[in-house]
Amino acid sequence: MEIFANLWLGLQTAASFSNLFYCLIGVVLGTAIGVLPGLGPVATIAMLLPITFGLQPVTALIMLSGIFYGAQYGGSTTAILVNLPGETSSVVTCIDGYQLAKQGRAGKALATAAISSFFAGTAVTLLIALFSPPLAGMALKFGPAEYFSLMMLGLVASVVLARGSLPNALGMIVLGLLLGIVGTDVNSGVARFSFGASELADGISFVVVAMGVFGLGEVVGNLEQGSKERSLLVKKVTGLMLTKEEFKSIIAPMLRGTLLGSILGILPGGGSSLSSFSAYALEKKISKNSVNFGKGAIEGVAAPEAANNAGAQASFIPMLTLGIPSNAVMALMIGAMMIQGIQPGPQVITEQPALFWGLVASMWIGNLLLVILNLPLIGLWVKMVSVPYHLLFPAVVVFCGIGVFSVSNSSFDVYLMVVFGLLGYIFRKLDCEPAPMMLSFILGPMIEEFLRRALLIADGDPMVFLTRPISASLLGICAVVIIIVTLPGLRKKREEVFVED
Amino acid sequence: MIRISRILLTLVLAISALPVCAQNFPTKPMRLIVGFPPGGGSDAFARTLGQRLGDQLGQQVVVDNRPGANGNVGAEVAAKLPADGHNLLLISTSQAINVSLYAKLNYDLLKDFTPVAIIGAVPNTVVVKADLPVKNVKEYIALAKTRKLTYASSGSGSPEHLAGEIFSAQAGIKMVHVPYKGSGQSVIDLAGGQVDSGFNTLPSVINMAKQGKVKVLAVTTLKRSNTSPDIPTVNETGLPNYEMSTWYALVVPSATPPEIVQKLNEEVNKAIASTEIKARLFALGADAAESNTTTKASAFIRNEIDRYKSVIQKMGIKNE
Repeated sequence: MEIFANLWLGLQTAASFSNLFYCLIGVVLGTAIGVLPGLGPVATIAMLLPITFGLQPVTALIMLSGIFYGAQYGGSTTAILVNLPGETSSVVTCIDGYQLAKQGRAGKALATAAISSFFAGTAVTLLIALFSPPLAGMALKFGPAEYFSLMMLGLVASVVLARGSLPNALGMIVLGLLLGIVGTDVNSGVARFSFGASELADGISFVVVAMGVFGLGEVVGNLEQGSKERSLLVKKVTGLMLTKEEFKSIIAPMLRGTLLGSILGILPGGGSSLSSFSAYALEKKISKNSVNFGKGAIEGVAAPEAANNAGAQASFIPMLTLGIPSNAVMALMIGAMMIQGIQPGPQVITEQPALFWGLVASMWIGNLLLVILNLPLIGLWVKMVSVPYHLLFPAVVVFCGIGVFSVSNSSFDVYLMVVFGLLGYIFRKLDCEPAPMMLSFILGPMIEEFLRRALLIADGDPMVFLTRPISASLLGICAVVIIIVTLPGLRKKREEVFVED
Repeated sequence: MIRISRILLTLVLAISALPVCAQNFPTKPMRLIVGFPPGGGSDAFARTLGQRLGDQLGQQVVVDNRPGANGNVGAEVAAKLPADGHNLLLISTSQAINVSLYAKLNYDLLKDFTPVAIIGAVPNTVVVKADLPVKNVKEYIALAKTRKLTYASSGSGSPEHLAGEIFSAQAGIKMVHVPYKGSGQSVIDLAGGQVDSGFNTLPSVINMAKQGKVKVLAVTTLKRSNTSPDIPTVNETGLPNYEMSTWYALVVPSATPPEIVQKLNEEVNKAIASTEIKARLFALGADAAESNTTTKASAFIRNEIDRYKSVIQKMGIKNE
């Protein structure tokens, strides 16, 4: 079959000594910046771009993409160990991953993250090899109206992320939406709630809120408890590897997460930011173990980790086949290709088969390298949890500071993070879950942007959301979800899902 | 404690601000501030030029991204840095537009900075969706007169937005402006046929055009671009003298000694004349500027600021 001949060509290209070497550099670097909270792949790739000028095009792309998916991979480590999400995608990993770590099962959580990511990476590599061109066509069918409806669905689903009381969750969602309003209005260019500060003109950075609410809030909360109680926080570390039963229980969540992540990752308009959230929400609804979600369910780590890796890799599909950047990293990759004299587009597959298939094959090799590198490291990472807290917390605070500063080299952002740290502490006191707020904070501005753009193009006619089939179906699913959540007959079941204890 | 460290800091700054003579300039690594995040057009320009300048001057040029508020955050930061020639700022059309776009700015582009040289420019394009029944600028204008057309830009007050507004005004048409956050999503919506047309930089649409997913009608520069010489200009196909490209220039804080500004100007001109930089910029879809003096650069920037001022006043847009 042709596909095997192609993959064989790809493997030959990717397995050459220099390509393997740069792939290794890429994933190691990616893991490192992923582990350091806040430092993202965008800045790293931009800085390394000039170095790639001297390399072969395929080698350059292999290294740069290694950084990208390596970072997705490393991001889960700090999320699980110290409740610190470095990127949008690791927010939900915090929920159950950190609980697992507290119970002394950090090793298992990390192993689950590694295995899920590898599985998703392998599956999506095959997906790219088999179906790239037709899938890319799907991305173009999504206009502003469709994105609006998709994001609405995400927002409705965010209610499921919460445990505890529903009013609290709704309050947090609204708060997230309000925080998302800060910044320049896309249509008119008017700055909203910026109080004259240029630093607020582009809105509040996600990293600032995440580091403040999760990182600093957690630190303050932990310090408040006496050192005695704190030492009880982390129980004895039990088994690094998964048992057979645990392994069985993560297979289905892994599959569902991969599927959801691949679909959302292909959409260039921010679909991939939904992948880990929606995978978690779905799992919480349908998992047999849903009672334990939020209290350390291993399925709650497997699904979002698979989804975020699948989403990250699926975003290569529109980039490679259409030259469409679905995020900033892909825009940089296109830049890297153009500097090498390659025009991204469908002709890349036919004109540069070694480049295309070499890159595809290197993704699989890269994922394999990540597992080989990271599984032995788990033992080392887990020891981090048993570091005395009076040594650990200053490090967390410093890394939060460095991470936030590095996003846009702004000390203003660091002060803002402190404010959100205080807010995070108050949320803990009030038993308010920050995860739904984070999701609505990310989705709110996108919903507004797509809503207004859709209306602008449709000349102000709101029917556009119902006359376009994809948009109408998505809104239909929204309605069904709302009915399920509010219907009295079903409320009892919902409460079983929501309320802890 | 804080006070002592403040005094120390002031002392250090005072020493570093002592007059440096152009002969032994630069004495330490230089900083090039960019008002946009890594990965954008400004960043690519800065890194390309920065590396070459560093090689020529024997000191490293560190690119320092200070994104925010359409390039205003970076300019605010750079305006306050020591004016010893070691601190540079990359500006583009955006900052020249901002002068008139924002009601209040915390820096003055003309007073706080001295231009060093124009580096180069990226052409904008008039681009339409694949199935819009027009083949050239004339037909596009004619169609816009018969029905309402939408055009996408990379944001309210962006160079692309102004390109569209100047185009509409000169052609005597009215179109619906659909602003995006950056050019990525707007190109996708053009390829998907969600918007009728767009004003986008040439490199952002050229791939899609080669695949037949969008049609590039013309470039917005006065002369055809070296990177795509087969694409006609708006100037030659319907609207004489129409011009609106996205240019990039290097400036320094205005107190920088003139002989150092002169030295930097010579170095930049040497860089953009080199085949290496020309080729790098070419690959980015940009044209390197012709050799230009500081006076010429200064006059060019002033002229651009005035031009945008009148357009923005006519359009009645204002950012608070």
